[in-house]
Amino acid sequence: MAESITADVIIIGGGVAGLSTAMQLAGRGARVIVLERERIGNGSTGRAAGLLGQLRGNAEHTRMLIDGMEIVRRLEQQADVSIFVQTGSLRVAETTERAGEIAALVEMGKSIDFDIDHLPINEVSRLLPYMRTDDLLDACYCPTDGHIQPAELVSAYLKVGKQLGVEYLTNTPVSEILLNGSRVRGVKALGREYHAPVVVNAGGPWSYLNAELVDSVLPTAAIGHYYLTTRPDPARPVDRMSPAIRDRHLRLYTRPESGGLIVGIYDPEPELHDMRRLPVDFDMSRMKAARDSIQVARLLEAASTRFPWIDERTPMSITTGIMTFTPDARPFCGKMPDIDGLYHCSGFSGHGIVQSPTIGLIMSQLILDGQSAYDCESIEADRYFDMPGYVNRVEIEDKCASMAGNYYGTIERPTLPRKRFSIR
Amino acid sequence: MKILVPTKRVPDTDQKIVATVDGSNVAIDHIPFVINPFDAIALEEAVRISERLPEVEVVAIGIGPAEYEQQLRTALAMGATRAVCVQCTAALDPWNVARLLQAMVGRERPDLVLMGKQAVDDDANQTGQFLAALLDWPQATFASRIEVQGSEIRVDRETDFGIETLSMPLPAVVTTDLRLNEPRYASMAGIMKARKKPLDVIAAENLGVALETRVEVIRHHSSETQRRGERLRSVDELVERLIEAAGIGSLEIVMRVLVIAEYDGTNLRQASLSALAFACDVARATGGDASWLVLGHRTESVVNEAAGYAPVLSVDSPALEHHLAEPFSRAISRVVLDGNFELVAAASSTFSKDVVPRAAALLGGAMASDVVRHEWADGRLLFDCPRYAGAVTATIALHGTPQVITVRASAYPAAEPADSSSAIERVELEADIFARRATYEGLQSKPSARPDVTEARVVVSGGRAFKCAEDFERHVGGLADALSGAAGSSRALVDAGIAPNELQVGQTGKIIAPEVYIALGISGAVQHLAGMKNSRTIVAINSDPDAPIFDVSDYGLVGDVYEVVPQLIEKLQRHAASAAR
Repeated sequence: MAESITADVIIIGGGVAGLSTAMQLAGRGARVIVLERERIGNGSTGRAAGLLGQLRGNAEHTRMLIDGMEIVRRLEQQADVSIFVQTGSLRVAETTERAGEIAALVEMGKSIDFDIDHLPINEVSRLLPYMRTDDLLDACYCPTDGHIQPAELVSAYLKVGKQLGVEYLTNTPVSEILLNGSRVRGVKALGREYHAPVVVNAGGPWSYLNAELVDSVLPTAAIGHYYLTTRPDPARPVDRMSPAIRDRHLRLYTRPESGGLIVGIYDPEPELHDMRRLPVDFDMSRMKAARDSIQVARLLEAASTRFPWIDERTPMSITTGIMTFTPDARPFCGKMPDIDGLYHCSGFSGHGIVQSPTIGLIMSQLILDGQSAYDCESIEADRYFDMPGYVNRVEIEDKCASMAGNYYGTIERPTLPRKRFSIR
Repeated sequence: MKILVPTKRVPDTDQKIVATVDGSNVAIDHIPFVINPFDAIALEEAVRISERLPEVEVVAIGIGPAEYEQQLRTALAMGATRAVCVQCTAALDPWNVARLLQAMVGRERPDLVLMGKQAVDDDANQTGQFLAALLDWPQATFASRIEVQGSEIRVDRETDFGIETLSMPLPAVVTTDLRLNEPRYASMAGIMKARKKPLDVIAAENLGVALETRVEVIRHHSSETQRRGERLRSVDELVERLIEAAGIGSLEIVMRVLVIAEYDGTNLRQASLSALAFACDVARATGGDASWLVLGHRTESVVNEAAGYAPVLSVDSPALEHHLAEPFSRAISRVVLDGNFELVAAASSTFSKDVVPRAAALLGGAMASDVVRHEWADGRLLFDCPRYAGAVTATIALHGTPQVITVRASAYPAAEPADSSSAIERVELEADIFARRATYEGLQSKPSARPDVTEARVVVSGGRAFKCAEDFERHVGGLADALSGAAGSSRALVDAGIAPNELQVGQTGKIIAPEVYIALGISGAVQHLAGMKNSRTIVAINSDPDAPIFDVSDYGLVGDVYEVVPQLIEKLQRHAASAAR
């Protein structure tokens, strides 16, 4: 039998969640091995657009994102790479409900001294000459938002992680989580055992299958996602510092990309993927949209409503990948009562890139200190544990898909912070 | 106006394509099927014509098993007016596809057949030319611009010499190249309308075509799927590998082989000498002979040069001044039949890819494209032809004579001159051989000296290592020029304004699969790999020995691009100068 390898923590999954957690743990002296089934950063991470909207409906999440930017700035220095592009961001409203949403968001932002304000429509037109604005009722602008470039973030996590001694094994799919009773003692991959008292399940869309290895239920679902990138057109330049746009009514988000425009959609009827049916060496970068994909058609329709120059004749590429959604669109971070030593870190519901810096810190605190400096109530891994309606795959997928389908669709009602805090 | 668009259903070649264990086919589990990308371009063009002109009917045709209906629905959603599925479960080679299409043309009577220049599965590049010959219609292959003017069509076509413009009366067959357009994704309205559009099913047997096999696939085998991952120690080693990868480099039957000579102005092209080398090898093995056929007008110097290698048949006529497929293909077939040649060989070039398949159709349709190796087995001549852009090689036998092949020049060494000059025979052909409907309108040199990243055989891409536009042009552009390739870029350089937007290779840029991809100072993020990982050979130069790009490279050199690339350019230029004598 092949010799076994020991570590303090084994992380399943080399996406941003696993990479960030590994880096933070190693920074505190833990010996960490990351086992990646295929290539580092080539799952959901590799398909992400990376939009950062710091102001969330929930104050603690806002704080996590704002603090994450501090971590990103440090990473940029450590790895000598530019990760964050501060384009600013814009939310637009074309209905009175959406305008109400914006008003509440501005009020909440101001209450925590976050830089946000209403922006007159004529200002919006000036800022974004390529966007239709005549139907807008209101807009708000956050100058400190932008996007995190996923490729650069991954390379920085890797570079710093390597310096701290993290070991990364690629093309190494985990086939077993080893237990001693109900305690984790390691994993098995390619016939080889890796021993550690702590295993982190950061498998993204595969994470529910990792949980199933120990008969545990992780209520996530694999949801298809699409965005288009228009080819650069000298006749209609998109400045690379143009603000990102969120149009929740049309379920769209956009940001500039290499002279073109990325337009993504949270589709109302998203595709569900059965990860078990994908080949073991599945390469998400090879996923391709059919020329008559209904999801792409809906994306095109919504995109051309906001950007009338976009239609099916516009030269563009389509990027498609798989997101991991949860029933409430919030991630699962931490342990469940059933297996000791198994930590989950998954279910970012389309926000993994921007949440990963702080989530890695939180995970390292949960693992090494048993608790986090953040209020983790809303992201606890056991919040659906053994809960009726969240047990079998059909129920779970139904709830996650419905969450994904209504994402952006529902009217947000921001909650003011329970305890007042200032970001300065 | 009615436009017929044949659409082939092929496995998505952006997926990993490998041969099955027994070699009988390629493994298609988990691989989605798509409309052949070149046919999708043809369909897009037809739909755009229908959006521009009144009363244009676009009929999409699929030939194959019942599953083809799914691709035809896609074609309808993209804008075809209606579709016809010709159901046929037999394996079809280009000859039989062309004959079934000929029957469909007889039923539909279109004004124009628009189809891809080749299918990305068998990469044959024959069917359109076969169909044109069978119908005796004028043809324009490799179209990069199409203009319909009344009952005429004007086509820009991409050739090795530049962009040639032809005009011809309709009906005609036009095959489409990559640069014509970018096919659409269907709109919601398109998808809804498609559900109500007619999709007729016809059994192939009812078309009155008796299938006759011309291509028999003996076996498939996968090319190396594992990257070599070789770390090189010096620039000299890298030069050697690059020269290799970029291709700068007795039996019972008696076979008479005719080689179609190609020339560049007044000189034979090097590639034709490779075709002659192949021909001489076959002739030697069978105790036969190999001769040149030089077609053109005022070709004395080429004829004399060719005679230094092998006997020459020369057809000289003002009608052959320009490379028009109709007279050239008729002249070839007449010379082949009159001279009892069993095998016709030509180099793979835009000229021969246009003319030779059309001649093959006039000779019965037994053709192999882009042969990289041949062998004898049980008295039969077998050919290795790359398929799926080289991911799989098929060993095939042709049925019937004469047989027609094009050889990939880099796979065969150039023939050596003979000790003494050979005979030159002038062949006179009757006037109707030279009849032609297409009119040559002119040739313009390619707009840019460098090819586009999507179509170049060699692509040199630069990444973050380059600090300014001048450095990028000098190193990336310079190396691209030294290898007659295209320049590409990572997203980072485009964002930094160092490289132009349209050069971006990657997930949100262009997705390409050249023969050789050279990554200079590119770390190899998955977003970049998504755009180039299907390249045949990947070479990386990077100062970081841990850069992920090395994991997907065949050849890697750790070093500073600012030091390595100038040496590389100089050594390659020196090699090119010595190769040119």
